[in-house]
Parts: sequence; C-alpha cells; structure tokens
Amino acid sequence: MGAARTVAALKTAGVVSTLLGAALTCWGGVVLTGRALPPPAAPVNVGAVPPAVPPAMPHTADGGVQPTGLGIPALRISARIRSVGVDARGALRVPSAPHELGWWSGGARPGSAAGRVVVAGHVDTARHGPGALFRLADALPGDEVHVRTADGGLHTYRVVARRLYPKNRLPAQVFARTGPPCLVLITCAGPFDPRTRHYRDNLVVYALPA
Amino acid sequence: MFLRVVFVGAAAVAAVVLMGGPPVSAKVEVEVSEQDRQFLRQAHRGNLTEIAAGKVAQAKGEAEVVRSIGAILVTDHTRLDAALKQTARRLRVSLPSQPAPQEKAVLERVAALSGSAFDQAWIAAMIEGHRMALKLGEQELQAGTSPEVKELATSSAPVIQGHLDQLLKAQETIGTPRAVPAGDGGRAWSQAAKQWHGLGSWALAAGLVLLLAGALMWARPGPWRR
Repeated sequence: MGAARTVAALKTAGVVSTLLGAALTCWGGVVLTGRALPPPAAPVNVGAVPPAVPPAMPHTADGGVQPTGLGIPALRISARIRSVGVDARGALRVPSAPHELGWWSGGARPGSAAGRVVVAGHVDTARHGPGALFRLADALPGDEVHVRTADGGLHTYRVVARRLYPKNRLPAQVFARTGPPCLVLITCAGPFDPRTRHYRDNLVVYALPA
Repeated sequence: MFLRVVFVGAAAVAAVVLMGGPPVSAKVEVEVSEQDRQFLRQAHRGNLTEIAAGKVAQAKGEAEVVRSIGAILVTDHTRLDAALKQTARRLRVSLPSQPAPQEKAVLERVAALSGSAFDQAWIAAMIEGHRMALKLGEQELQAGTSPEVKELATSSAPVIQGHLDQLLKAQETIGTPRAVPAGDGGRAWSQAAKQWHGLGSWALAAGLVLLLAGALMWARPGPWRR
C-alpha cells in the first residue's frame, strides 16, 4: 500500500521535474542563442528631466566659460573635454580618444544663465575599448559632477535624471539653448548590433548646478 | 515730394548762382537728397561687410550650408556693390572705403569662434545684417528722392530677401546635433549580455539535470522502493 503510494509520488515528482527541466532548458537555450534581451540592471529612466523652455525666461545661452574637464567621483569617471561641432550629416563629433569628452560648442557654457551644457563621450570604441563614459549608465540622482572651465573655475552639478532614448529619436530639448542652466551628458547604450556596429540607444544624464 | 524737390532744386540753383559754381552740379543737387546719400553709403558699407563675412564663412564655416551661403554672399554683394558704385559715381556721392566699425567688430567677434559656434553666430549676425539692409531699402523707397537710387534699392531687395530666406532655413537645420554616435565597440552591451548568458548557461545545465532526474524517477521508480 505504502510502496504504491511512494511510487505514485515519485512518478508525479518525476513529471514535475521533467517539465521544469524542459522549461529551464528551453529558456537557457533561447538566452544562449541570443534571442532574449537582458533586462536593464535597474530602471533606466529615473528622475524628472529639467524643462527646456520655462515661460518668461530670457533665453540666451551666452556667458559662461568653455569647459575643459569633467569628473564624476561616484563612478570614478575623470576626463578631459574638447570643444566639438556637428558634421555635415548633423552628427556630433564625439572624440574617439578613450579619456576625452566632447563639449558641443554650439550649446551653453558652464556658468551661463541659461541653456544646456552638452558633453558627450563614447561608452566604448572598437579600437580603444571602454570609453570615458563607460559607467555612465550607473549614474544615480544625487551623484555629483564636477566640471572644470578654461578660467580655472570649478562648477559642481548634481544628477537629477537619467533617460534612454532610441538613437534615431533623440529629442531636440536635449540640446536646448533655453531653460535653466543644466548639464547634459550623452553616451550610447542599449542592445548592440554587431553588423552595423551601433548601439540602439542614447543614454542621457541630466544634472543641475548644485 | 515734387514740391520739395523743386524747392531743394531752386535753393541749390540759387546757391550755385551765388557761389558761381558750374551749373552741371546743380542738376545733381536737385536729384540727390541727404537720404539718398545716406542710403548709398550705408548700403555700400553693408555690401563690404557681407563680402568680408562671406569670405570668412568660406574659410571657417563648419557646415557645408554656411560655406555655400558664404560663396553666394560674396558673388551677389560684389555684383550689387558694383552697380551701387556706378550709381554713386554718376551722382557724385563719395563712398566710405571700410565697413561700419560696429559691423566690423561683430564680424571680428564671430570670426574668433570656431566649429558650430562659429556657424551659429555667423548665421545670426548675417540674418541681423540682411534684415537691416532690407529696412534701409524700404526707408530709401519711402523717403528717397533720386529715382536712380530708388531703382537701386528696388532691384537689390529681392536678392537680399533671397539671402535672408536661405539664412533662416539654414539656421533651422544646422548647428543642433541630430545624432550622437558615441560607441562602436559593443562592450557595454556584451558585459550585460555576458552576465545574461551566464544565467542562461546555468539554467540550461540545471534544466538538463532536472530533466534527466525527472525522467529517471518517472521511468524507474523501482530502486527507491526498498
């Protein structure tokens, strides 16, 4: 009697185990063949993006001093900044040297009364490996960002938001020359297409003067 | 207007007669008012500025559209200025040889910039300059006297308006980045992918073990009976 019950229990356990095993095997197979995308480590979009055009605000991105260096102690990021422009196709010329960042010279300067100070850096390059902003995805609201300027000044910002945008739909407000002064850090993120050698998304971190 | 011309003409003739000057200049005095002179001088200075600015743009412009508008400015304003100089010579109006000091200062400040900062500042300065030029022309058409000078203002207006349209269009498209290519290594992705793949491998291994054990328990529950 007891033995028959044990056999039945074992058979049931066997069926459950087989089904569970099959499910795990299938899922593992899908992951390994690259058909499933990893979930982001943490919610990617955090914080509120500072407004670009507040009503009744003088919108001049004049004044301020050209930035020369940037540091984020919490992420152990430290890099030189070079002034960069836009190429004929409208792409920002991000420096390829691994410890160099590009400041968009058409935008605001640190210390200006309005507008975004836009600084972009590679997450990595095929040639040099990890770039200056390799760890930018780990930036959290409250993290301090220090920006050195050409006159020797030091401007401290505090991260307030992080956003992931599809590269081909990068919002124009990221480059706004209006609104309260704001530092914008940009790099690449998201799934990587080894054929085109492009990431799908841009990671944008917003920081306000501390 | 006609009365004023007659009056100015009469006054000029009187002055000429009093001073005993040649009667030829009397005709010139009749036709050219102070407004006409001012227009010729300011428009000439404007042309000089636009030609200089066009050359700077050709040399320093980062965006193709800035360099090409620069070339157009040089060609068109050289042509406009040639016609202007001819009219001025005929009407005996002396012209300055340099752009206005404040316009020159603006151009120098813009030329000191580089990259897209230059492009944006240059376009902004040119838009301002061309709007000013259009206003000067309208002023001349309203208050000017000489038909020849007015004709000059009329014929240059569409050229200047054309430049302004191109500049405004360029201002919308250039300068602001539309894309930020900031990675072609794939490592940031492969790091996340590696962890994910690690998880996948463990799942596969555990799944296979469970599958095997389950099959054994189901097929041969015998050995555990005892």
